[in-house]
Amino acid sequence: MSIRIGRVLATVVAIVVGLLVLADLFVSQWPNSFGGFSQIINVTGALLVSWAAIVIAFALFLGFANVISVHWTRIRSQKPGTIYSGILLLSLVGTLIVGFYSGGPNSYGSQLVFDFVLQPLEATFFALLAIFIAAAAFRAFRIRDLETFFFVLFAVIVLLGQVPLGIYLWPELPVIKDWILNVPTLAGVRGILLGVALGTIATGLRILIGADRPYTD
Amino acid sequence: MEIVGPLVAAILTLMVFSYILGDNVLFKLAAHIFVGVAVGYAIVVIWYQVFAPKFTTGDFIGTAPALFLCFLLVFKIRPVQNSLTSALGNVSLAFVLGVGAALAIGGALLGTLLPQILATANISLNPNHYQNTQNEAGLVEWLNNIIIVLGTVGTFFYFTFAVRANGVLGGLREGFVRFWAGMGRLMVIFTLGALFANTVSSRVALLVSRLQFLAELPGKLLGG
Repeated sequence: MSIRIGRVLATVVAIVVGLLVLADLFVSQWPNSFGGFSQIINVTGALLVSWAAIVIAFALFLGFANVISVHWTRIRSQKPGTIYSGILLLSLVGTLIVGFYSGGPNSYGSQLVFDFVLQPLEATFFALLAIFIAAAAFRAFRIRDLETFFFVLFAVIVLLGQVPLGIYLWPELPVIKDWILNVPTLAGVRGILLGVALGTIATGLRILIGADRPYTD
Repeated sequence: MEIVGPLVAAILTLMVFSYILGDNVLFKLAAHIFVGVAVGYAIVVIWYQVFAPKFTTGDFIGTAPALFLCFLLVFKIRPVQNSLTSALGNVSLAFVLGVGAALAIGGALLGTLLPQILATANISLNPNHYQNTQNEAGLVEWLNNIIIVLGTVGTFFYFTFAVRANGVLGGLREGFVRFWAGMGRLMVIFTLGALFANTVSSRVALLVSRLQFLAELPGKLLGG
């Protein structure tokens, strides 16, 4: 019985909170249409969003605790990859000490960690993708039909239109590249965005009317 | 730090690039260092950007419901199916999902759907609305706008997933949707080709910047 009440309570919370925040968004957009209610809805909406930010931040803290728990268990049970778990925990604790001791993410210590560890690693991981995307594309994009031909043709024109080699080969290439990006790509992206937006609204509304309850067991 | 910092960055860069030769210890070490530092940095940012400002203002009463929801979320660490504690944890999740769904609807409606529809609807297909359609520039603009409108509608129709309708009207609708979806499919192919090229070029730009950093490092270290 109490579990059933818990489920109903969760659904009611999702619906009420969602509708209040949605009302706040519309009131902010058209402030003069709701009379005296505008301010109350605005304050309530802002408060709810700030609470959600705290809960999401806390959820990330739980994720942090989970990372430590998983890797600490691996170290204790001497499973394969212990050394990697040790390195991960060391770098994690090291970053935390530097961050808190030096006084936050904008401090000198944290900036050093960001500039000389985090940013180079992130940039290099993404750079590494260039090699593997090129290799995969070379294998996958065998021109079998007209559609693949157009895909490869547009990709090659946009790629070459951005580099000096393309201009050297054919001076009109950047003009064609700009046309591809400004006309057919704009149309395609706009159509896709419209579909994504409608899908987002439909999914959101299903949560707000209680048809979808992804938060229940 | 002017020498040690870039040296550490260069070593980490080379460790990641070692993956080109195949999966190896150095790459795995770099990946684990990255995860550790990223998680640690995220925690520092969260503490100083979210929690510290709330606690320093002293508004504990205003923050208390959020802290109570955080407490309920703890029950989801080791959730027991169909238990009271798990049901309480669900309330916290429901709160976050309710707010998230409302923000997503607002963002999609006011930030994407309405602006994109307005931008498409404002395009005129009447050649008389364009200045100098007699010369090349006006004609090209008019034709480009026709392609944009037809392409947008076609792409939109390409993502139509509906049950096949029966009867004469159903057949007509089927033919109409198929015609537009065929054009939309072509437009999606053009778009994906261009987006793929943009993704590759951005990754190559990053690759060049990392290689440039490595190439310039000895000069910086030796030159002071």
